[in-house]
Amino acid sequence: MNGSSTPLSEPEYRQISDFLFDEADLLSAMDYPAWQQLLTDDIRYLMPVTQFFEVGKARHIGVGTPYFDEDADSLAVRIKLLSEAHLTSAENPRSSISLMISNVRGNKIGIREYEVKSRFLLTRVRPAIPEPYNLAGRREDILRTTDSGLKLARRTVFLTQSIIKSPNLSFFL
Amino acid sequence: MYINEQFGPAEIASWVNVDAATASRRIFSDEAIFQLEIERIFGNAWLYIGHESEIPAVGDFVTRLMGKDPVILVRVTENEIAVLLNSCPHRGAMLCQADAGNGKGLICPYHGWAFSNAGRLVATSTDDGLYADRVDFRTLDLRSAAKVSSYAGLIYATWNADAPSLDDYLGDIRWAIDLCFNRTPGGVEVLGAPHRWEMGSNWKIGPINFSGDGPHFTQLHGPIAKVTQGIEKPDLRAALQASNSISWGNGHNGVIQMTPEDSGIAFFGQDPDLIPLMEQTLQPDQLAVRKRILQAVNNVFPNHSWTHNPVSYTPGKPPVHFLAMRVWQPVAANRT
Repeated sequence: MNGSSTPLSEPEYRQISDFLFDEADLLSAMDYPAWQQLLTDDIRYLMPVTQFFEVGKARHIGVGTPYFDEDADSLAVRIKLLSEAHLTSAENPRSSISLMISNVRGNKIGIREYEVKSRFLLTRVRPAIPEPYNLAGRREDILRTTDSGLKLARRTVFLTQSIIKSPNLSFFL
Repeated sequence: MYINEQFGPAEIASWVNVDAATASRRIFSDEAIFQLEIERIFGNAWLYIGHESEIPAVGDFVTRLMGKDPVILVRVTENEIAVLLNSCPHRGAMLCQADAGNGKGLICPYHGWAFSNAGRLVATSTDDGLYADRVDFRTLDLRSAAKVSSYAGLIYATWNADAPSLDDYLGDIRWAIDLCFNRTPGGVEVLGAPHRWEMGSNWKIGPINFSGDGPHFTQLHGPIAKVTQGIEKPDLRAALQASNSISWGNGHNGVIQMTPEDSGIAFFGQDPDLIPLMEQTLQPDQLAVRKRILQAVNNVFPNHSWTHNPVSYTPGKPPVHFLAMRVWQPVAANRT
């Protein structure tokens, strides 16, 4: 990032942590309409594919094929499909989800924005399949102070798995 | 041998009743039938490996599967590609664990045997003389697919030295492949690395749903059609019932759905810049279909599918016609 980057004050760190923990509660409950209220209008939500390369020999092709590369409009479609019972079979019954957030660190960049990193552990259980699905990874976020409080302006999710061992990604991280 | 004795032709024939349009559930759950498929289907058919654009430069490789066998797809020279069994002929160690990369050859991590990109054994470990005269090292090149060929940039390979040519194997589905992958002189290129998933179903669930199960679209995919394009279920069902379910021969099947004649926008959702290129590349009957195409969903036997349809998320913005391929890799009777 160009421009200034300053460490977080204690109150800022508390505020950012609370934001992420409250957000994780919404994501665990799959309350996506409420989560949508925490996103800025220019939100970008990105989840690239994880690949194994020999050390120092990464080879990428094309423009990339992320699992998610969403703006406000495409997120609105996904949220609508996942939130209304008659519009989803993947999430009806809903998954039972626990999303834990940890390792929160960040910097203040510019006047109103923060770059924030965190790690997550998702546990997801589907009906009729008792085996929980566990997925760990990390996130790089931009949070922005707005008139209605902190909001998420950008998130990039990095997964540990290169082969998704879940039949779908019908949830947000 | 055991499998061939266990399942004679009469029993195999009893699993599917074409006239009654029924099939035994065993074909989706029985591990012995799964092993029979690995041997007879995946051991003999032409299997999709990757697209030419995934290995653009000499030395580029990706690691894939042919049935349950891990293989390395590598560009040996500008015009020569190889599909090599990812297993050292010495003691069976996996040679390459990366998903993709570029190299001048392969070195086995176990004893250091070295192979060229063409699969030739070029050097064993420094312990020469270890096997005295008892081993003919000329027979220890990497195992490779019996045949490798490509059509429209799609690379297929087979373990079967007696397989028909790829052109003969694909037969009439080449018409549908051209419709989607050979529309323009440059063809298509992949956008990036494939997504990889595991699911707890038999591999055949995928091809079945990309071959001719149009009706699930209304129930399962109706929501996205409604939310993004405002299409209601009865209209969706009527449109699907008017679409063509096609048996291309050799086990290849698909569905091509078009807008009704004299309705809708010509080349709906397609990039106008491509139309002159399509006019110079496609046959007139293919062009006529592209003018009204809504979706093309097909499967090349046994397990190579694709779907091609317009998608839009933003009201007021024109849809984009997207093209996605899937390969359904058999892991176990209930795992893919």
